[in-house]
Amino acid sequence: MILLQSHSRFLLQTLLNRVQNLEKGVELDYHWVEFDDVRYHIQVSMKNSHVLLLSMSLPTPPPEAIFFGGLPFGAIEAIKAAYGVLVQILDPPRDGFNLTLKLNLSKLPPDEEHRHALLVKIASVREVVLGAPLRVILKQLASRTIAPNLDRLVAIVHRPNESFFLIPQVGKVTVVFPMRFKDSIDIVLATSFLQEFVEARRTAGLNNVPSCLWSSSPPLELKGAPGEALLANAGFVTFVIFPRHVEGKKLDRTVWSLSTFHAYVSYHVKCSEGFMHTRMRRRVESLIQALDRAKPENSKKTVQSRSFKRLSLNDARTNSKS
Amino acid sequence: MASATAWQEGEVQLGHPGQTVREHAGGACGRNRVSGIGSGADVGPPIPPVLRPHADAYTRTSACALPPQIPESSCKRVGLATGSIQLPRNHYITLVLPLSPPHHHGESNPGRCHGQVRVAHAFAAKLRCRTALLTLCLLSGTGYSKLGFAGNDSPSFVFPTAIATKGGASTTGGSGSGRPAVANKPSFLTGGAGGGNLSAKRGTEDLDFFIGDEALAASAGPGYGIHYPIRHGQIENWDQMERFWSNSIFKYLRVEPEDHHFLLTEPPLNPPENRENTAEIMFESFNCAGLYIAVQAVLALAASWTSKNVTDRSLTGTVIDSGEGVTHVIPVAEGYVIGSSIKSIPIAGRDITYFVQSLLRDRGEPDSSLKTAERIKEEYCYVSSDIVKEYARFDREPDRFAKHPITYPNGKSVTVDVGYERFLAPEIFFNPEIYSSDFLTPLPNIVDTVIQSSPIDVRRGLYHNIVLSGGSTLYKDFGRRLQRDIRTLVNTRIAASEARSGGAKSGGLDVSVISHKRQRHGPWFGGSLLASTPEFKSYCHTKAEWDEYGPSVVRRFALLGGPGST
Repeated sequence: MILLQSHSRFLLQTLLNRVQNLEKGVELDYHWVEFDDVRYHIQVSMKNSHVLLLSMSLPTPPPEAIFFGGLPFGAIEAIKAAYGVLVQILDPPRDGFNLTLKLNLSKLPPDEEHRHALLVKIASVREVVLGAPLRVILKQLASRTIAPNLDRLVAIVHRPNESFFLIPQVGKVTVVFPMRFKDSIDIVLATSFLQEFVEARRTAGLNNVPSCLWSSSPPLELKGAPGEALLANAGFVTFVIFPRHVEGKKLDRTVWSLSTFHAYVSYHVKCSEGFMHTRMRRRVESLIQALDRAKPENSKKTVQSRSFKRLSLNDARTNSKS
Repeated sequence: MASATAWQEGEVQLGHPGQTVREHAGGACGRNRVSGIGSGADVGPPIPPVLRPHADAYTRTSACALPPQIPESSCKRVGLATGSIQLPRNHYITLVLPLSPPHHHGESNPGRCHGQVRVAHAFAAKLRCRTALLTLCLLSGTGYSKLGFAGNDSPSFVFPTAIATKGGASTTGGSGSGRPAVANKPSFLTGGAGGGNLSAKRGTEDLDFFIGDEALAASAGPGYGIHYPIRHGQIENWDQMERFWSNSIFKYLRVEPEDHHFLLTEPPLNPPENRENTAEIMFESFNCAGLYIAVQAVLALAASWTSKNVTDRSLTGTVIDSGEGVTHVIPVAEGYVIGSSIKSIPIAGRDITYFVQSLLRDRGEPDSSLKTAERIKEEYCYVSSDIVKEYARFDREPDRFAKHPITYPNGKSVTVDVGYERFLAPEIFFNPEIYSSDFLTPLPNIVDTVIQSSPIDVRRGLYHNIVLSGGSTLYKDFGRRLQRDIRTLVNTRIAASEARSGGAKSGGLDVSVISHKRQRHGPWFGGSLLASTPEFKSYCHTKAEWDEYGPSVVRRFALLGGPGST
């Protein structure tokens, strides 16, 4: 696994399970959490088993990110565009959540393939909601329309109290991620990972991917960003997205990859730590083997399975004298 | 619940960044802000607190709503408006608790003090309400792993504890330990001297693996070999287990381990070194916020608290844990497993399936595959009170013979008759001689022996609380039959000893077998129950403790749900 899938596995599994047993009345009340503090709650009542309430709470936005009514801008439109009649947005959302969707499973299309695609789309509600502002800007880039907010810094929340920045320009969008990690080891690993990541971009096979830069100090593009947003202990990663990266179907993938970039790095940092542990364990094992080989022979058991008397220091001395 | 609804109008939040109030020594004068994180419980002396809306929109505390369980009375007591408090989103309430003059401190004014502490409790509980979810329960068994979030009633994922790695079993044949082929592989950690030539660095091989059902599917194809990192309940291959966990956490649960407390389980009699290794992976590789390692049997006991027959919530009892491979009888006294008395029985779910299958084969049914046998076992089987009577009843009432329709993917369908195996299959627990020739002790006798070999002062508790857990205890009337049989054994013994003593009367011994709704995932549910309590986090060991004391810190855990906790 290198990239995370955009749909939540558990949500998809639950939805598929519900759709298959639609006529069976099941009480369902389940809470769960995903990375970057996205929380879900799913509820089905016995009475209305084809109606499913899906609530979602988003990471707390930092001051610079633009939120309307607890949702990132463009989210409502994105939900409506993605799900159509299947989903109704409840206002106000359930207590403690930012968004509550009412899914009417009886309105699912009968066509198997189409239905599955739609369920996967619902399971990736996170991408739809959190990626909405990013999608709006990248769409403008794809259609090469002149955005009203040209050359202005746009902050998009991706972690609790943290955001990354977009600078829409003519013909390109610059994306800057301030990378922050809690643990000191993580910081070191992430820094070296990111440097290597930038290095890897230069290989021949990756000519067409967005160009990527890493720097330990905030890049010039971030001038005017609030000071707190410029504190990053693992440096700043900059991607430059051109229209060719957001054409057609590529848009969805780009949106998802960008909005989960931090999780991607974090996963690889954790994997590297795991990998180092594997190596450390093997090393210890080989050292123990070496130690075992160096053990004195006289502790070997005899045929009668009685061991020889081990010589104490005094015995050894008297032996050598005699 | 008028007040509670009122509270839910806006998002009520507590706090200011970085201010955590613990006990205020000496009861210093002045006003004192409580930020709910931390131990809100210890907030000092009386005088009603004042709530005031706070429009500081971007502090670091996270949003959460007041849970409905905050008692209305406590809101009144502190003079909260029980009418309505409407706050816009992201606005805060700071709980301002004026401290009393020093002479009040130490003076006993239980009523008022209690009220205030309760409010502080309520607020702390509210904040925890949001964080309580952040506990993961990972249960790794020999056969299946169960993962999920605390506070739910079933695990999110249940899949085989299997990992499929590239290269497979053939390349690792020499060492026999199934290690991944990662020797001397350059990665970005071993220095990027090679420059930008990514293709020369085979750096992603250790990420190329599958777990769970996907592992089983992948191992059927070429290139992957399947491994089971846990054998007999104990982790054998730590490298694979580490990767198994990393994939479970990142790919299945999709969480950042730093944000979560983990509840892991271990089998009884797990060596402490295994705990240390587990903790090392959890803390060093995953940086998890906190870790608690619990014994499965104890969690199974905790799960039985949901049964209405359980009133005292004790952690003393006998756990009968019957899964797919093996059945354990484990006596637990006040949360500690009596290791010397554990017994296991080689009869469990798989044997019942085989037995059903053999009966189907003997009759020459059109379909006697293992899958069919399993379905029949799960859907039709029950425990009878007496086999002979049950045979007679089947002959009297022909509608007891069931028919099991099977439809194949190709559209064909057959019907399999289901007959005496309905009650005969689970009967192998009680009369093993009908199935096996080398293991002949019935389950009730084993349970009785186990309890008799335990220390004498806990035996009464062990008889009183016999808890069932695991999928193979789900048959209808399993608990009743077991209870009756054990009771018979006990009563016979008591009668015999009464006769021997010549006239002395015994006070009797209460035998009760507890069946409950959560038996199937018993230990998981128990874990979820205990981990969602607000105290759970204080029982965990944290990364800081690990760094401070080293691996030995995980050799001891305070007993979760034991005496002293609520």
